[in-house]
Amino acid sequence: MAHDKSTILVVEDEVDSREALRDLLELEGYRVRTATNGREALDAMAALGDQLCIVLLDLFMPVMDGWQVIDELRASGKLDSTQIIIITSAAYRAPAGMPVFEKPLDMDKVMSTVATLC
Amino acid sequence: MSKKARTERWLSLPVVGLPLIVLLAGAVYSLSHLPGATAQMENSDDVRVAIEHLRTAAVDGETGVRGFLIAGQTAFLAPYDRAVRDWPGQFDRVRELTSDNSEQQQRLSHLDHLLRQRFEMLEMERRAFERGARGKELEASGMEGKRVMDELRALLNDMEREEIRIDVLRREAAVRRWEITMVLFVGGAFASLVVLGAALIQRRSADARRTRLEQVARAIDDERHLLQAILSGMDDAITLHDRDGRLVFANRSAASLMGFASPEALLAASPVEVAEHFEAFDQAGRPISIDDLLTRTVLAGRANKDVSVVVRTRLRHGGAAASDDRWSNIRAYPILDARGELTQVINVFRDITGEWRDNELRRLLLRATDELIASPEPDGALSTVARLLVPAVADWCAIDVGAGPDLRRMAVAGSEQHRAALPPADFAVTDETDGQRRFVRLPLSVGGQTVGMISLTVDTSRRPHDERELVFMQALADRAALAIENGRLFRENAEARVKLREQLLQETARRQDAESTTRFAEMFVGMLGHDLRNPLNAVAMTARLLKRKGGADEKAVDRILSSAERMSNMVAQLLDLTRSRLAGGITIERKPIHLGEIVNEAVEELRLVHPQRSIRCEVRGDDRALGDQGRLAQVVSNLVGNAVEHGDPNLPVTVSLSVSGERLVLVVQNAGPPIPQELLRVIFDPFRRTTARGELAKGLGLGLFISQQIVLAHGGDIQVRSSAQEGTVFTVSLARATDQKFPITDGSLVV
Repeated sequence: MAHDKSTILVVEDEVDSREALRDLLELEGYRVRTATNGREALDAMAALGDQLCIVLLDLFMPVMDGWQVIDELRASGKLDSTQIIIITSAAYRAPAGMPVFEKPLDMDKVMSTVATLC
Repeated sequence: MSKKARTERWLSLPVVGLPLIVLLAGAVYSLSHLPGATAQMENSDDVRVAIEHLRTAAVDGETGVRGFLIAGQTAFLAPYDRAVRDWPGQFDRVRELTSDNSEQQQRLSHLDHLLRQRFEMLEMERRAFERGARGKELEASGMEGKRVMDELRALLNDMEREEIRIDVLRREAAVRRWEITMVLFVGGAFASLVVLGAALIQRRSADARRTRLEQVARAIDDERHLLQAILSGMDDAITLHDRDGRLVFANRSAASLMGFASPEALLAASPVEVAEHFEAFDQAGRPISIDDLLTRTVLAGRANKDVSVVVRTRLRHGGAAASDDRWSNIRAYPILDARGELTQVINVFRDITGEWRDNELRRLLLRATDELIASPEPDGALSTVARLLVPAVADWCAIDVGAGPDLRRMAVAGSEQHRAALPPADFAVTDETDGQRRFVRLPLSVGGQTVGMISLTVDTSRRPHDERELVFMQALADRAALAIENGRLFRENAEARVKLREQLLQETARRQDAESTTRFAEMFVGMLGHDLRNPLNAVAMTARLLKRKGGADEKAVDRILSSAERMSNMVAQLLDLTRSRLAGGITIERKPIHLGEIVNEAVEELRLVHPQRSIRCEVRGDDRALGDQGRLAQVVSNLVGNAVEHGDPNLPVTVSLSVSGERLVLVVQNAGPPIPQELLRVIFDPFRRTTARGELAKGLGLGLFISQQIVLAHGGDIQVRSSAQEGTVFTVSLARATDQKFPITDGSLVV
């Protein structure tokens, strides 16, 4: 399972959700990195480089929110090469054209989607 | 009589009369000679008779002598003796009858000689026979006698022929003369007739002319009388001035206008006397002399046609000016003679006092109306109106506003000596007089409601009674009433506006409160929803983690999971409600979709959840539409889920999607007892807590409300019907997307 593009980045400020999601993904055998805000997420993305498979990105976060992350990626030209799935409690506010999982997450769908991508 | 007629008359008598006289004279002359001609013709006959007698005498003499000579008896001598005795008488008769004919006279001389010679020869023969001579002697004388006798006969024949010739000539002449006479007579008679006729005609036309002249003269006379009668009787004052400006005619109205009892009195008055009676002013009120009136202008040749001017005239009574001014429009017309020279001037004074007064009252009314409408509060304007009324139509005026005991005096004008003595009791129109003063009271009423009154006193010794003024006062009263009523309405309106503004402010504040409450509620519910979702997410995931790791009580973990899901649904509904009710509606994202696929997927999911239930699904036709995939899936899930939940568990739920014209129609039907009517009516309302079976709803009762909101946001329509036979049927109708370029690509993934 551990191939190059196998790391999932979970960006979530709420600790319980973040840790539960990480545990579930790790139980399924994925390598998981976590970030508590947008800034950490961009740093982690830079550090992971090609190892990054997908980013599960929360929108409402302190320091730097999800929209800002997307703007940064778009500005640096990396948005197209980065697979992002929005995880949010306000799906209607998600940026257009991006896949969205609304909280509370339907883990069956999350897992099946992740499985097809990574 | 015209020149031509005169000429005709001058010509007609000699021209027609002279030939006539000549003709008649000729005729008379001819006629007078006719008897002469006849006498000549008779004379000619006599000559011929006498010549015949002579011839007879000659023959008788010859025959008698010859008989005697032969028979020798003296009895044969009787014709000879008679002839000898008669022929000189006959001869003299011929001579006398032909005395005017010299030829016949010459012949007569010769005849006389021959007759004598013959008779002498016969005498000698007789005597010779008586002496006894016979034979040769007698024969010689007989030869000579025969020659004379032949000559005599020839001469007599000549004479007779001459007489016949003369007679023929005379007869011809007589006939010619008769003809001429007849021509002259007939011509004369005809000419006489012509002349007589002409004379008659001329006489008749002369008579007619004379009659006409008389008629014209009479008509002129009549017209002069008529004109004078008209001018005298006319209301317009009319004066006539000669070239020197002297007044030569005035009618009764003119005399009256200038303060004279009769036209005669005016005509007799000197200009100074006229000026004492009467004064005139121009429109600006400047006094003008009588001499300055139009006559002068016209006489001075300054106006070649008629001119007019408006003047105010006033009579002086014993030097003091009376108040009854008259306004006149004076027109002056020049009267020109045939050579175009001015002979007289007519002045026509048209009395326009009535019109002038009307205009004045109208202007006054206009001013008063202006005053009244200038201010929404007419209190000040009423004083102005009172002051307008007092010099213009009244001597004292009061305006009261209100009714009954609340009557307030708003304005007074004029001298208090004229103050109305009328009891201010009733509001009826009053118009009374005490002989010197006229009291008028006019209620001010609007729409049948009295809002005040105007009281006026008119000094009738100074102002003549004028009905127009009452009309004017009434009109003014109406306007004043309207203004007072408008003022009242304005005040009321202003008060109402103040109240309304306060209400508006309150309402605005309330709405702002409500809006802020709404915003707060939205924010609160939104925040709550979102904030609830995060721990709910954590709970659900943790439970799932427990389940995944194993070892935990699986049923307990499932209960946590199902509760978390129910709570999640309720939070989702709450958030939808918040958006639809408080945040301007559920937002949908329109994209090209295949509704059939959405229906199939939703049905498939429900089959997984309810494996024991039969759900029949049929999708037919072009299922393309523009819509929000997730939201429409939510609608289908809600409707089919309800059908499964509430329908008869032993009978299938049927779902169908079909094309109907420009619409896609989704029908979800379940068998089972019908939904009561009262519930059907409110079935789409939020927070409906009872179900068809009276059970407590599992959720918040927002499912159908949210479905309806989603359908409406798509421009669609959702209906429900329910009956025992059909069960319950929900029908959703949405617009089809028939565009050829309908994209199939799916831009988003909504879970």
